Amino acid sequence: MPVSARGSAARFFDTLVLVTRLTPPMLSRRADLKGLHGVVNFQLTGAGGGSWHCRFVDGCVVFGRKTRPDSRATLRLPAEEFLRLLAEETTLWSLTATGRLKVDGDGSAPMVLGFLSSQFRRIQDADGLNGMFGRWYANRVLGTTQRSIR
Amino acid sequence: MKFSLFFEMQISQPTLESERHLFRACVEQAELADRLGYHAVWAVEHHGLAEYSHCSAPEVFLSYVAGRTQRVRLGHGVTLTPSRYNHPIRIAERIATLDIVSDGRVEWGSGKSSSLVEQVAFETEIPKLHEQWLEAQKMIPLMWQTDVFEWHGAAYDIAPTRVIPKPVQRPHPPMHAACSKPDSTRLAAELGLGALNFGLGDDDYLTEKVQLYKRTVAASKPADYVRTDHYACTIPTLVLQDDRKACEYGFRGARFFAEAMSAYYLSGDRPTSELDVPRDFLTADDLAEASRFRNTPGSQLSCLVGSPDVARETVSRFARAGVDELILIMQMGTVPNELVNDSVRIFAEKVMPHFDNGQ
Repeated sequence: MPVSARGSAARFFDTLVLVTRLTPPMLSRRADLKGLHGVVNFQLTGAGGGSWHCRFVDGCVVFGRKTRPDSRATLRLPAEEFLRLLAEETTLWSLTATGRLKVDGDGSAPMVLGFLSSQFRRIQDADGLNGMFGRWYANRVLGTTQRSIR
Repeated sequence: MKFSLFFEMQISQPTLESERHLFRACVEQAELADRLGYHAVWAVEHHGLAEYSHCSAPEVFLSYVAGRTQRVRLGHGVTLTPSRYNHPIRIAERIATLDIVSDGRVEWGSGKSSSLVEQVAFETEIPKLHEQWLEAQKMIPLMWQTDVFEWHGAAYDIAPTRVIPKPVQRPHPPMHAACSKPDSTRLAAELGLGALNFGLGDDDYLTEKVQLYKRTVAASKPADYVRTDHYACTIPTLVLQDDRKACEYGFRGARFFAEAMSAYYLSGDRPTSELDVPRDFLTADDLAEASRFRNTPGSQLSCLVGSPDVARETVSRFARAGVDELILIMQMGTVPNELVNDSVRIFAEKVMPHFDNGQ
């Protein structure tokens, strides 16, 4: 079954929105966020799509529903392609080169997608409670906890 | 517009043998660039970024290239200036020496490194890297211009010292800085430095960024060195007679380049084993789609891949945006060296003559 049929891009963002509300700003490793700044909007089209934004402040990232007018860029892509990126069935480079990912504004903003997808993989591989959360989260978003192997 | 070659010195799944071959191949490509009229060859400085960049001692590589070439300029960039990587005095000495042995052919670029591999390996103080870069960037041109150099700053405190030798180019070689985000491009312009960018975004974005740079650099008034007004873009490139072959190998190489870079710069990890990145050819669908999407409205100016006709069209887009120099990354980890050599030749013969190459 393709990841688009079993997964949900909305769950990826809605879970992060919820975590933002419940906990202090997360993913606060400054070094990880070096170079990432401001507000970036996401518009995911097609089934399971929607609009969200993330905001980088002082080395932390927070998520919210809907887009914001003060963004430095809006990234548009099909929800299905976003799930394939998370499932490692495609790459950020391929999305950009084929035009499936559209960028309005700052041309360096796709790096945010690279950051989110790499953190999504990273947390699944973590030890302890973080890893347990990561695998539960991956299951919720992708419908599986098994990372693909190239 | 000027055209140059860029050496990260990439290897996919390296062995000791392939690493030795890589260095020989890069020297050969630099010699070819010299004969074919390229403006410069640029060599980076990275440490521990296996597969992505094996160019950890560019000063050695460029010195060797200097001795084997006649006219091509030597882009030493970017040098990592924070002191844990290189003390500013050592940088001033090495650049000046290279400028002497090459008879005044050095272009110097500086940066601070944003890779955790390098930052941690060299025990840097990450929050202080920017400040150290900035201070070194101001100190080094003074070292080249003053007989006895002395400095008392936040990051460095240097007693009166004669920093020798002095470069051939007076008052100093052209100076550039690594920058890819609009903010860092603006800062380079405010400092009166050339801007070394990776190709990102579409035509409107690039044009806006170049204009921002040009407006800002024109107003800059560096007190202690000569302004360099120069906007360069670095892009993965493969130009072959056969468009399909160029796309097959070029897109695969560009994807390897981008994904290997992401593994070191975006993952938050410090990879120490074989990179988990795709190395195979693109799927037939992706290849067809990426080929079709080139040079269409909204397409990104992030690679230069295809036949000479397609390449000329892509280069024209950079020229219209006002870019001064295209630094071509032909040497990518998954591209066979024979194809890199073909690309260096074909680009010089079929694309460069349509632009002036700064001649």
